[in-house]
Amino acid sequence: MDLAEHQRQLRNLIAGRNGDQWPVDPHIRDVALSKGLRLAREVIHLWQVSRIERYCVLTSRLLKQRGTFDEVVRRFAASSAVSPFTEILGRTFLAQGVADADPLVAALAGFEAAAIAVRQTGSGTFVIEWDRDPQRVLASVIAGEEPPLPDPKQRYRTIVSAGLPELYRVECCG
Amino acid sequence: MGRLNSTSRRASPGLGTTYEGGDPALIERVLPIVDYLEVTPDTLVRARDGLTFDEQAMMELENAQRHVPVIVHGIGLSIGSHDSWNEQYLRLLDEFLSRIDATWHSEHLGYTMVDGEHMGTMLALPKTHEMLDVVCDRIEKMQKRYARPFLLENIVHLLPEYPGDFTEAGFLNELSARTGCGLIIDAYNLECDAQNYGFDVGEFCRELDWSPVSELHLAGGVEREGFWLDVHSNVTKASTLALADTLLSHCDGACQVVTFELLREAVPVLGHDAIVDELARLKRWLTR
Repeated sequence: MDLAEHQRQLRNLIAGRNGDQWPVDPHIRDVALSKGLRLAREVIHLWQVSRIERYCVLTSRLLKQRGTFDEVVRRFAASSAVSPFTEILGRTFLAQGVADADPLVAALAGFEAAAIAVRQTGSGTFVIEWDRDPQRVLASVIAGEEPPLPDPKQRYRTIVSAGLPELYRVECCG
Repeated sequence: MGRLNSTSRRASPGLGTTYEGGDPALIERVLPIVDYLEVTPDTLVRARDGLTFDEQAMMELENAQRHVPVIVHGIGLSIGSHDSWNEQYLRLLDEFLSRIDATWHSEHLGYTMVDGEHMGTMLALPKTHEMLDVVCDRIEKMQKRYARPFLLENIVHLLPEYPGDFTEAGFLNELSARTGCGLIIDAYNLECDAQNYGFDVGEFCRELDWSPVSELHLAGGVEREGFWLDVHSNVTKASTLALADTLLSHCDGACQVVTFELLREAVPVLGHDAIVDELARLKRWLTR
């Protein structure tokens, strides 16, 4: 086996892309059966968790409250090119969160991405739509409490902008 | 440029430690104890319009290097990738070294990328002739690009070792003999390899040419299911320090610095007091 093939096979094992195919090469087979491979995968996952928790504080907390954080990170890592740089990893994670089927996760991820962008660049204005009161959502996520339910009578939006005293304001929009 | 100038060698190695920026209270307490500050440029990167360095962290380092020399220890080069190394890391290193006058720079003897894809971990190289040729060529390019010594470090083997053409020490000997590069030997990595895969550290010590070894690394990690993981999250174990003693005896004065490595994530867990105590303990150990 040449160098390229060796490295590709190890990468595929680490990423769990070998499917049902059992490696032919005896060394790769040893690796596939090793405790080291299993723990390497676990360490990679723990690093991703740690870096996402550090960058995406609010979204991580909400997902943990919902008991889905671990699974969401694993799905994210399997579907995206994972950057070694925390800020790029975190941004990509939030961008994927914006498309989440859960409207609360989508809104909070969008809000967090906007707040980070505005704080870092000192410019830009972002509008995020919510199906429940964002102030109560933020308070509950910070306090580690159950977030409010959707408000059937009222829609909300947050305007995130460097020009605002608190960097954001909440508007009711019918 | 490879090995360090022998005229600059000191009888007893200095103490170095990792600093990843953003913790002025820690650096204020660390600087009076250490002789070198080890910086991993990758950890200071921010994504703005492209990748750049955290300005606050760079200013901290510019100030710190007025007190102690800075040494660079990268993780992003991926010097052993079959297809190409990481050009993005080189551009970052260009920028970093234009602002920080590092005494030397170093990397890990491993790879993190395959076909441009980051694996999320670093793997040890297969010790083959093909691999040796690839790495030697890249070391020479590094030496031409940066006019300062370049060192490579033995990394931990997470996975069972590929049955190559060289032993670990034999591969390091070939690298340094062919290119003149310096070496870093990580005591904890050797200990992990011994624990996890029965690596014979004594034989490694006997076989290695110690003259290019300018730096030793110390760290602490965690154990999972009897497997030792090199995660730089803890203080140095007594057994690691005992091994480092043995390694230093082989260096015969060539080693200039012993660096205690700790990840940013471990700082709040251990706390500033424990880190300062650990550095003071290591300083006493080095100067005893």
